[in-house]
Amino acid sequence: MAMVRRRTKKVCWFDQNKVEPDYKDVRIISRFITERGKIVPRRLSGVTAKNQRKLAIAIKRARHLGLLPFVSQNIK
Amino acid sequence: MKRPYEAMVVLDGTQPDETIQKEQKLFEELIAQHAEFEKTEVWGKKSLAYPIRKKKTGYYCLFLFNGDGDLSPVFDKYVRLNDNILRHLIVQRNLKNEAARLAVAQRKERAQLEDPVINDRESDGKRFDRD
Repeated sequence: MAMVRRRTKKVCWFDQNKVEPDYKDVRIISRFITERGKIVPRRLSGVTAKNQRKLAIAIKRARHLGLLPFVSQNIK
Repeated sequence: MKRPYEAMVVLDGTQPDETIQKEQKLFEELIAQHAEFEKTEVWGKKSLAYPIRKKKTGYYCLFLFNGDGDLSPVFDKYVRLNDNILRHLIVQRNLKNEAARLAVAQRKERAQLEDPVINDRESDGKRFDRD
């Protein structure tokens, strides 16, 4: 009987690199938003709960400063 | 008690350079009057992710200083009256994280570290953007 291999457990990128999310790291933060500009849920990004809360604050600050969009238009 | 703060200010990018430089100097003086001014990191002109007051570009300046919190109302008062300032944000600095961020940036340069891959739709099979 073939064993169904579980998808590899996603590791928190911030814990791996020993950084905390910061609104100034736009290139890193922007990887955690969808095409429409929404914040990616934890179950998909693998971020820990603590870091997800900090990440959300960082994204919202970046949005306020005009570094990230609130909503992006999808060109279909 | 003096704590390390940073103030990110977004100036109107469509203004001439002299105006922008003048505003930047005024901020530095304002901060120096009420706190220990450390340094300015200029990010320069960047396109805004969405229009602010109909403008599409902003000039980003990050001011680092040590203060005891009484700068904030002074800052806000000045900023509210000035049309050239689009956004501002004053935050307490996390010095440990700053060192860590620097280390990550250096490692990235050296090893060309990959940016985190997040939008991994194949593995989940579900869409999180409904349309």
